[in-house]
Amino acid sequence: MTGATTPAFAFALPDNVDRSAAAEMAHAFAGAIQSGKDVIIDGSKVTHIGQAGLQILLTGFASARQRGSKFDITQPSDSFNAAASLAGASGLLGLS
Amino acid sequence: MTNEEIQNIFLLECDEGLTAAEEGLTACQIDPTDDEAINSIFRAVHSIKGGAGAFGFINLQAFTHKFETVLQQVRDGDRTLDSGLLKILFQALDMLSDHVSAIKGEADDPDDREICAELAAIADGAAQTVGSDVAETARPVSDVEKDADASDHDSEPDFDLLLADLDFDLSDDPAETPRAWIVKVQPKAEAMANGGEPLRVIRELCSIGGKVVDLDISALPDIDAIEADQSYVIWTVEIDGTVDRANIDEIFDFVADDYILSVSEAATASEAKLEPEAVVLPAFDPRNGPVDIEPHTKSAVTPVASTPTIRVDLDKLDRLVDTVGELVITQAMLVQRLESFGVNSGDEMSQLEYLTRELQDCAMSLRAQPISAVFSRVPRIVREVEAQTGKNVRLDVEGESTELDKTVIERIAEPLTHLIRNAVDHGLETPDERIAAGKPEQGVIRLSAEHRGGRILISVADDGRGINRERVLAKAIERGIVARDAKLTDEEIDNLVFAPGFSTAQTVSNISGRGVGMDVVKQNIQALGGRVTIVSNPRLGSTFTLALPLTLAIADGMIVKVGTETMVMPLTHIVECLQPQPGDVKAVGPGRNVLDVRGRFLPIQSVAAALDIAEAESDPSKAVLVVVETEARGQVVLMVDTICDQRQVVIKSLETNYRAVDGVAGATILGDGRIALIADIEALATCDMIVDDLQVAA
Repeated sequence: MTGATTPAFAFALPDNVDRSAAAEMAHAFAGAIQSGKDVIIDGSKVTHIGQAGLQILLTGFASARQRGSKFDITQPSDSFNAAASLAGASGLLGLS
Repeated sequence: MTNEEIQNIFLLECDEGLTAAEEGLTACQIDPTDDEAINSIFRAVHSIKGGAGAFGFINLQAFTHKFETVLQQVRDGDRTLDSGLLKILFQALDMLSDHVSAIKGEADDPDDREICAELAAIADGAAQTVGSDVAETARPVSDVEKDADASDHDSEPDFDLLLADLDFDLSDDPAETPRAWIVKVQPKAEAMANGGEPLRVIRELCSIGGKVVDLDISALPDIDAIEADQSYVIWTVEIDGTVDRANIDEIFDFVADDYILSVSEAATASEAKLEPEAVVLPAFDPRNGPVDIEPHTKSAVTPVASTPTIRVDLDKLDRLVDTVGELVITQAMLVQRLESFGVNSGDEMSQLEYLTRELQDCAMSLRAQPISAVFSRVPRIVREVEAQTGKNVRLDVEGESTELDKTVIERIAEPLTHLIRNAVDHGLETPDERIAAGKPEQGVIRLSAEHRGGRILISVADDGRGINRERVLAKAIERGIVARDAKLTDEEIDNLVFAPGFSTAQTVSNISGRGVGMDVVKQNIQALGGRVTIVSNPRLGSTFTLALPLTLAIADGMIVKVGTETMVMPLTHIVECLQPQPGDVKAVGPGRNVLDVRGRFLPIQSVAAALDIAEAESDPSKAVLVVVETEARGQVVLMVDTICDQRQVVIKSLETNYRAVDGVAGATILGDGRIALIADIEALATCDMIVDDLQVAA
């Protein structure tokens, strides 16, 4: 152990990241980021993601980094990767 | 919104597109270089194609595709819009109209093989030299090659032609290489509503060769301020320059309002500093009002509506008009009630009256439509009759933006068609006859509309031979329409053309001449509360004028008393009112009388007797006699007790509120709250009690 570990907030994305899921994500991410937690996102179940969901992830990523926290998307599914790539968002989400 | 509702909107848009295309082609007849007109035709056809594809109307889609291909060549300057090509485009437009009728279920699928072949020949004839005649361009390439070989002057094969035909691009000029399209896509919040998904649009752009080159997230708020249903990002997609611009537009056909979109050509390195940035045009937002579009380079933006409009169910509008009608009545009642109590209504009531009238005018204007909805069909009718008769016709149209009630517009289409056909078929002479008469070979039909005195006047004028009164009178006598010794004025002779069964056509054709057209015209116009008049000058031509009410909800009426009832007689039917002198009324049988009106005997009909109204005057010599014009019986005299007033009345349907009553067209509420029945003049005139035989000895 080398020093204090930043508390982490884990969040598993649903299979369909639509507008209603995005609203839920925004609320959850805002709470975690404001409290200074790292955010660890499991993207393995995602089969569909739309603009609303991508926007929340993009702003979550930027907001967390701005506050010095982590915002990691782990195990992105193929669908997730394909959608992020199509939208030109892969780099902005740290996926490439 | 259901699919059926969306499809209905598409069908309405088809009609609007056909009208726009017709107007565009007409403008091109005057100025074949009118870029905006050409663009508007292209947009209209392209839009119909997009909808046809979306709803699976394969035949319509296939035809519009061929049509669009030729239009695009014209738009791109690859073809000169000469008279030959214009003629084919008009034919294609008529065919498009037939296809639209077919998908509406109004007609069978049209046979478009011939016009499709012509369009394909034009589209394929890529070697057309700008300025050459279209007939030349429509020839197959092989024919052109044969000519080239046979030519004494130029035995070299046309390489450009061959290369174009083989689809080779040997150009080494970089300027010839198509530059990529740069499409900026900014979804609005609406783009994510109702199942919409902007990423699907991005995917479609990628599927035609696009690639996202930039995702602008600078507008994204912080995580604690973001709203999940709002849109904050802008995509920049680069699409291969070989992709047709139309294919890009097509993707936004039905979602354009949900996006702020710009499409431009990518600047080359040398042009980058010179070429202005593509205009980012906001799709229309009603809160922002009309959008101003700056003139721009070829980097055209997706066209958007420049006038804010919404679609409203007609039922809702009718309910509004009805309610406003009630308000007018209530306001009149209030004034009358105050006056009965000796209260001076003063400024406030004047203001209320003014505002009520304003509100009424606004409500009526909601049902108003420009008459161009009907006028736009006329060029086609003229073209058809032109083709059938071999006549050469120029159509001049004026006042197509004049507005009148939607129902009136719908119901004048048929009479107007008859008048136009009649004007071309009967009114205008053949080219040979015109030349012999010292006139230009091309005849002119002038169609116009204008507001005048609270009515709308629609005129169909021709510069033809005018009505041949001798022939009309002879035919009328031959058919027993008038007596052999009848003395008729020129006006009366002209009006004989409206008599049922009258026809002077030498041969019966399918254009006109069966004698069923003009009487139908008069009947339909009268049913709308309108009138038809003719002014004809020998050798100079004839003008048929339809005078129509602006609305069917309000009518000018004469308030009369009949026994215990107060009734309204529509002014449109009234010729004159007479107080008979002793000896003017002649008895011709039990309860049957005629009135001597300056030597003509007109049957007298008692309104009280026809409608079984009690306590009415039964002696015609003591009553007021109203001479009315009717379709079925010509002039007839209606007998009432007294005349009270003349005013505008709000028409209420008896059928809707009670049930149909013979002799009564509707009802209205007068200022004092009493209900007055509106007389159905036609029905009263054809009542069994009318004297059939007018052969009365004076």
